[in-house]
Amino acid sequence: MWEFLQRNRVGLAATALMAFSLLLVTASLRSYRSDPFGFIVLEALRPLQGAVAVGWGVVTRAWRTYIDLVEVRAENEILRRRVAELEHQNLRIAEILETDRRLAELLKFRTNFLGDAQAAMVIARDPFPAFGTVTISKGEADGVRKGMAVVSPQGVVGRILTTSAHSARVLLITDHNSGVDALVQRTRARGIVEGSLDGRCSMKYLKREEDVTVGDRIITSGLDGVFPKGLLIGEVTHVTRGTRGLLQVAEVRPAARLETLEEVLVLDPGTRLRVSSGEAPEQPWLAAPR
Amino acid sequence: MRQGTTLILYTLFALLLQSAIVPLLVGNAFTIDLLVIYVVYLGMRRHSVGAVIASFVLGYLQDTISGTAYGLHAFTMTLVYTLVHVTSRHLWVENALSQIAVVGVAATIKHLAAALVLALFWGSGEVGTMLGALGWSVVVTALLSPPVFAILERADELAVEERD
Repeated sequence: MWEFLQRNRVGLAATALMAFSLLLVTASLRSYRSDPFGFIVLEALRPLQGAVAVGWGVVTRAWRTYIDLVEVRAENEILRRRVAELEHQNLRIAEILETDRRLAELLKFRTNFLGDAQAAMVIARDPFPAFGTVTISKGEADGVRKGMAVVSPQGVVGRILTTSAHSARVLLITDHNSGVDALVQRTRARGIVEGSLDGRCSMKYLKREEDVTVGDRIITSGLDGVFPKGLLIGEVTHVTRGTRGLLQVAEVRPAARLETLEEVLVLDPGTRLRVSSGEAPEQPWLAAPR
Repeated sequence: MRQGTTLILYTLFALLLQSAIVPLLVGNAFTIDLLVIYVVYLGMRRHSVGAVIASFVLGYLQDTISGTAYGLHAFTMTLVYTLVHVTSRHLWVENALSQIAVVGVAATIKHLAAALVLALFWGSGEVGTMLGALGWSVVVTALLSPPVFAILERADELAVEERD
């Protein structure tokens, strides 16, 4: 008997423990009483399980933060690109609107003339400040000829100096070689508006006794055969009347913004202001000359 | 002494892995049953009443963290030990592949036995739940058996060296 037990002790122990296990299962199914042994195991595991949970929380939070940062960085990059794109687009739209405004103004200005007038873009400027010339986008192929008047909605710009097939150079009224026959609009005093090397204009050959004051408007006389009569050249900013001599000189600030010119109108010879023919002017400064 | 420490640390790690680490990593997709690997190892290497009791205790420890039927895992672990113990004389389990196969079969038997006991006491409704978790759990547990066996063998060697 003892020998049998000794020989089969492992099998017998296993059978006994399996039977005991099944008894435990039966007992635990009848009542959910807490097991003191299980209590100890749970207590022993609790700090380890807690540490794992906390550690996992730290790791996942760090990972999420990292992922968030990566996503935010990527999103930031996309938004930066989008902002740059929109800024560029905004700039283009503003430029289109500004061009549209200027062209509308030019078109409206053109209705003041009787005769052919061509719109042209300023495509280049004189690199030397002492010379006042610009290059425009229309040339002989478009009917532009040497000596034609060039104007802008603000006032007289200059005259065509040289031409090529598809472009032309304009001598601005501020160039020292330029001379425009002019009138003081208020008093009808006559003189010549000339440019200078420093880029300013002055009205010369004004008789000393003529009434010219600061603020007077200077307009074209139409007698030089280039500019139609009545176009605004500029405004008197200073009058120099010496103690001796027969003449006085008036400094004139050009009405046209020559430094920022972008579009101009080239007038055919013989073009007249509509206002001269008795029709209503589009621009207030195109007041009918007396 | 070294063997006892190894057993305690191994058991704590196995319970922690099963109850805290794996659920955090993969949810309920599968579980890693390191204890059944240890029981298979005992069944092949230790033929003593102490090993049977150790299997029972390991199963009972698993009961404390899993389910409400105390004794269920104690029963299945003791059963696994007994089956491995009985067949170990006829098995040649030395390479990784055979270890994977034996542990895979043992883990499957453990799950099936648990499902059978539950079906016996609670009705067949719970069997599906038990078997649902069978597939990946068995595969992953079996695949982990070669390194676990290597660690346990090394711990045994160190214990023998210490004793000598």
